Amino acid sequence: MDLLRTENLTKKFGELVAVNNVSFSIKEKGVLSIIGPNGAGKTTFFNLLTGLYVPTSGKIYLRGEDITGLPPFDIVHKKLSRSFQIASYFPDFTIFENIQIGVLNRLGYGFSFFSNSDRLADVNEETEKYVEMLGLKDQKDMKAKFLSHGDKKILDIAMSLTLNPEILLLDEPTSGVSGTERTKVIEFIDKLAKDIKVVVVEHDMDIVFSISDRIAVLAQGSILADGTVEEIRNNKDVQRAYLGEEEEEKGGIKDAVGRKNR
Amino acid sequence: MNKKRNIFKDPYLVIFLLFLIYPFIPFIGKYKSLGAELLIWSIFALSFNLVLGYAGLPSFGHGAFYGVGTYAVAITIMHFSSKGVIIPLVMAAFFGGLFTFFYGYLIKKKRGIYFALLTVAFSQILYVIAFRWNEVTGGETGITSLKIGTFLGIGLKDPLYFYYFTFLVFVITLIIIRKIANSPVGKVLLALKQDEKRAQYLGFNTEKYVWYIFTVSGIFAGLAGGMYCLLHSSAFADTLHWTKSGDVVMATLLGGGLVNFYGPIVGSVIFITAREFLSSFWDNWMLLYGLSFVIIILFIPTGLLGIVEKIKERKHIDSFNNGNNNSTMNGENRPAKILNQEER
Amino acid sequence: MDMNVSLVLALFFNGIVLGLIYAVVAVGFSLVLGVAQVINFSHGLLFAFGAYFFWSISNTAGFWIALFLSPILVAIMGLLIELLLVRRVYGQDPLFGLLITFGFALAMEEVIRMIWGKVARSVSTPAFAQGQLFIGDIIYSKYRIILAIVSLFILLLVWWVITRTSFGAIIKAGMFDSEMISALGHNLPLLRTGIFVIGAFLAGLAGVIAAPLWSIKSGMGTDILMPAFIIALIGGLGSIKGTIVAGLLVGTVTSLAVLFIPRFTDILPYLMLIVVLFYKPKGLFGEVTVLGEVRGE
Repeated sequence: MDLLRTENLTKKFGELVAVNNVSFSIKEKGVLSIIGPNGAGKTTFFNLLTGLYVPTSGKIYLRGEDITGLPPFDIVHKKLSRSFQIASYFPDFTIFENIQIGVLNRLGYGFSFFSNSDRLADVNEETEKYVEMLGLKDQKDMKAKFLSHGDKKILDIAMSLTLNPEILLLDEPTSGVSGTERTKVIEFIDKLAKDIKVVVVEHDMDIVFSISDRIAVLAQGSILADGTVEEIRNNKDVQRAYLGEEEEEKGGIKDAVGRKNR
Repeated sequence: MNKKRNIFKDPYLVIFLLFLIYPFIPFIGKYKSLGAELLIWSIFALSFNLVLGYAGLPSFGHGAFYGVGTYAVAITIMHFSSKGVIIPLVMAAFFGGLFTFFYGYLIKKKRGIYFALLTVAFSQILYVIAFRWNEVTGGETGITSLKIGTFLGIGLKDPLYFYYFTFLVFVITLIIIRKIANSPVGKVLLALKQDEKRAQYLGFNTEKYVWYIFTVSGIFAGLAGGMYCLLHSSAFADTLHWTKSGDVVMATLLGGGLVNFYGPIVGSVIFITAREFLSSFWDNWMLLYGLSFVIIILFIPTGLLGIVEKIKERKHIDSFNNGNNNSTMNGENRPAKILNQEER
Repeated sequence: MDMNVSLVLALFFNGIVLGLIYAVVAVGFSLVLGVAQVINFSHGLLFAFGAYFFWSISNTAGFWIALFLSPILVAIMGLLIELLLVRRVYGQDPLFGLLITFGFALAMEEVIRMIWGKVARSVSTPAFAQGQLFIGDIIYSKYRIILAIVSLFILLLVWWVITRTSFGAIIKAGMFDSEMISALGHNLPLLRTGIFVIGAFLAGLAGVIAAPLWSIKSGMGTDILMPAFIIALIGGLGSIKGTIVAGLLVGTVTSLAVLFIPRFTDILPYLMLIVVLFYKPKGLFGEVTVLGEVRGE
């Protein structure tokens, strides 16, 4: 069975068609990367899959279950999570609290009015584990707004993990991140991919070609091509529409560092 | 929100003690009714801050629920000849909560200006009803000269006894609201205040939380109103007017409710005391009153405790800057890059 | 039977007159909220100052000078409010704009009481506008008719400027995308100030022409604020057509409701607002939302 499947998924904003009749399947195994030029509809697609947007038409199935129209908080409970292009976290919470809040929900304390949120042993234990995994143990009591950009992106991804998702959608996890931080993020994703299904939207071709098993190309709201890394690399349409431009611009797709920094 | 951080002891003990000995404080202690009013306002502001400071929603019609409380007590005593005070107060809390329960359900999806204006609209509807429904609410004249009953057999006519009765109610309220604020629900509210989308993506049905806390807030706002009616033996429609809601907003902001749990209490004390003394000296005190809004918004929007919080925050980052030179945040051996504090 | 019909018609006309005055006040409020995203709770105060200036000046310099000068003075007040207060809160939580203008209005209301006293003032209708007109069976106040016509004229003039001139186009665009406006080279701060001043002028003008109709008291600013914002929101932000329609709707409904629920007619505008905000958050003709829900679209 397909893990995630869309059927004629369309999203219009007035006259603008952001996602155009997309019927697409995401398989259970392997890392999938979604690439495409800016404005192709990648983030909109993620927003639709995770319930932030209601489709204009079409359907979305998660493990065969129709989740069309469900809000994000319901979908997340069905083990589908995402991270954001612009890192979303709680700036005035400490790093610990940022992680803790998701754990609180997963362990069932969401509607607890009277327990002390900081004195729940099971929650604190779980949260500590995530904090260690992040490598931010020393800063766990620091307010998240003071983190470096790269660490904010990692925090965002880590927060998405607190509900134990089986599928994680990562929206441009390395955007705005450079140098050793970038490596850190990539390694983080690599490790994740071993345990859960990862779908990444990325612009950096080096990363895409190195971590992906399958690639889907989105352009102007439609899927242009979809296949293995080799298939996409050799696909003439894709080369012309997307990769080709990149090649000409940079004289090769080798030098990915810093290219899409905002 | 920093409630019981390492640097500061939780001030609730201090507040408890100060209010406990209030009637014996020189110069000010003799104004026991003022003291009761400070406590009542603190209850009101604390409950209001659950919506403003915790959920981050601008309710600009909260006076309506307070006003409902005053009328609930007045009507219960007058029309149902209640001898005690407990039942009227329970009615006050109940009706405060009832209105917020229903209205909260309607507006739980709204945010920002819409939320604010919808709360104003609702409070005005209640105001007009209170102002015009002569048979029940006494209309323009309101309900006056109520015979206030006894609490556990103790008469409440004596200002000292009434003060300590109010203190009791205040303590109970403070304990409950503080528990809620420190609970997971409190954390979820703070999360949704900072980034509602992110909170939804962590599995929280934020609308439900807004609805619940709005209801809880109404319960205690009603209770505060009920106490107010007992204090003054009367109920008037003007407590429901939207302009009066501005008072609790300002008091809460002034104290620093946006960033600190105790802000509403600090703000209420300063606000009410200032207003009492100012209005007794100067006929045109409203001028200063209005200008104080302007000054507070322009210069100390996070309130007095907000200033304290800013100082704490500076110490906070310093401890991460200086203390941990082994931090490998950027993979390099230097402290975390500190970004601009003014986020929004 | 006959009496009833005349009564209904009279109430209906009253509603129209009321609605049009409200609309003139509401238009300024609506434009400011639409373009600058600021809730200006001092807008009613400007209306009050229009009336008070008119009273003072007409007692000294006569009707026509008062008519001409008062709105201008109010416009200047608006300018000062924008420069000194509102500018500081652009882009911040809308609650701050609301509170700062509200606080200012409270303070200035007190100033009104200090200058003009607590006693209600009144201005008589100008000589040429006194008396009644006979329309069929109805005797109707001449001044009210003139008032309605003048208000309508003002509203249509504003509507024409907004929809037919290039200046109006800039304003309209500013409501949708203020960044774009700056990018295109227009001076956004100047635009915002301009809108504010125009709104103030209109409020002051409304205060002037309404003065002979209602008694002039210090609370009149607060009193008209609610109807103004309700109509602005029901009509839709920045939509002149919407404001006019909403004004007429609210005015007539409230006026006629006296026949059915004489005591609680004041509730109606609020109920209407709540209903509209639920089914059409943008208002009847509005195109701009002001911070709605998280999960939009």
